[in-house]
Amino acid sequence: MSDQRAVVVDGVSKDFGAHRVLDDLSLRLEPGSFTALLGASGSGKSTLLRILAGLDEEFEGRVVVPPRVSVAFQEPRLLPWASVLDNVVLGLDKRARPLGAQTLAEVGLAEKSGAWPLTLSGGQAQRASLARALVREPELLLLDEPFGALDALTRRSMHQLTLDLWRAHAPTVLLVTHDVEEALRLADRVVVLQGGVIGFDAEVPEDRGLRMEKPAVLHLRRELYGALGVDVVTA
Amino acid sequence: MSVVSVGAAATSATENGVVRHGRGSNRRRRGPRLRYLSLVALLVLWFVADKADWISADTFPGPGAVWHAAVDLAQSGKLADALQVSLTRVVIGGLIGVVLGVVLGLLSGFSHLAESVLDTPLQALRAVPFTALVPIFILWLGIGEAPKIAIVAFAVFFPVYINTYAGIRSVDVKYAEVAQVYGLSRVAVARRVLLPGALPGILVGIRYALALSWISVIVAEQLNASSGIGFLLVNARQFLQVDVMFVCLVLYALLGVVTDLVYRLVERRLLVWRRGFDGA
Repeated sequence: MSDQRAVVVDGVSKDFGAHRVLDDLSLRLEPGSFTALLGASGSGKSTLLRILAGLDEEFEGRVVVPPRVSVAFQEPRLLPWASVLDNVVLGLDKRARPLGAQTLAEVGLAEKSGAWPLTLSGGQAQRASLARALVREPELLLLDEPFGALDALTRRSMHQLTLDLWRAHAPTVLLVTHDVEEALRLADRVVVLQGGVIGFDAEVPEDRGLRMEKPAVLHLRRELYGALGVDVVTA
Repeated sequence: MSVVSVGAAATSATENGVVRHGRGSNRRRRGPRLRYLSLVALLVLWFVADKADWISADTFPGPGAVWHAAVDLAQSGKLADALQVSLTRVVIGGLIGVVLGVVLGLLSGFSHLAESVLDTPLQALRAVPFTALVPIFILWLGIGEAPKIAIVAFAVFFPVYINTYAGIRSVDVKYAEVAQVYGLSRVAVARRVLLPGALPGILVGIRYALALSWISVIVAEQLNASSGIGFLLVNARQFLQVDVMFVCLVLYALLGVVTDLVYRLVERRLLVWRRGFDGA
């Protein structure tokens, strides 16, 4: 998309009581890029995402986001009293319903459009949540650990789906995760939140499909674990 | 350790471990059957107590006598009249109370301004028993239908108001955030998120209110009325027609059961999306 604009975080600080979670943090995300934001729990990853999503306005500094921002949360947060399709087109015009059904088909849930969310499996609910995020053609897609609660097999297929959707719709993606492998598998850039600022920032080398065994990626993986304060034994 | 699953339900400990037998998928049927069985057992007990003279017919008539009194009342048309009068009061008063309760509960739930204006006086008013208001309402509204309807509306209002208000406030903020991210207007948030999220709570309030509606109409009809089931009961007491009094009591019980049945049907339709715990 040609009118896409970069995401800019400019000197953002945020306190929770006496605790400064974000401390004059700056970050720029290029249009159409896929960035993974890593950090230990409590490091402020979700806080930054909430600020970008417009859910937290009590911060210092400045952020610039494109007009259309979508979020897929850690829990799918489908309204249990609305059908899957109604959830997908939540807040949209009635004319968006065919598009909503089309997006559900895209995430492999075509036959579930009339189902109640509570009857879906965890993976299906997360797919519906992705469909809800994507049907609006967002210029910025914020993913807040959306795969954390899924089993390993479902997570792998969700990874693939996420990449497919990113290629098809080309939004700027910020994926908040604590999973180094997930970050390396999906993103083309990884940043680590440390002490309220971006303490580590690197491009992920190599093609996505083959990269996980490549030496450069293994090296980056070791660096990332180091930045996160975890010692890993490497063979 | 071994776990074996076959045939009828049973669990037993053996030296190999605990053996569990599946009990098939037909166990839901037992509940309703048991429910009716216990009611029939109660009736049989009443019947036996009457036949064996454990109870005196002057103060506690048997099922036969009560049945005859009911048939007499039905044939004279008094039963239908009383029922219709009471039902009308319950429906009109109940509707007024439910609508006011839902509307004010929504207001208090949605807006902090409305809450600070409405909630404290309403909580104070709630402490007043509706029975204490009967003489006041008669003074204000006369002895016609108005005071009876007002009593029912007053009694019904509070459980609906409180549960609607609590229902709105208990809607998970996570859903409200979704609405915020996707740019829903205030009206859309209310309609698509808060109201359906509060509906289970609202229905709890309405269910409680339905029971109160019958209690309140009876109270209203006993203190000042010339028609209705409550009047029938007071009248019967004056003439020592114990069997007629029992007809009224059984009628109340039946009305309560029917009201609850209707409620359950409505609830099941409105809350189809729930897959919550439904009793063991």
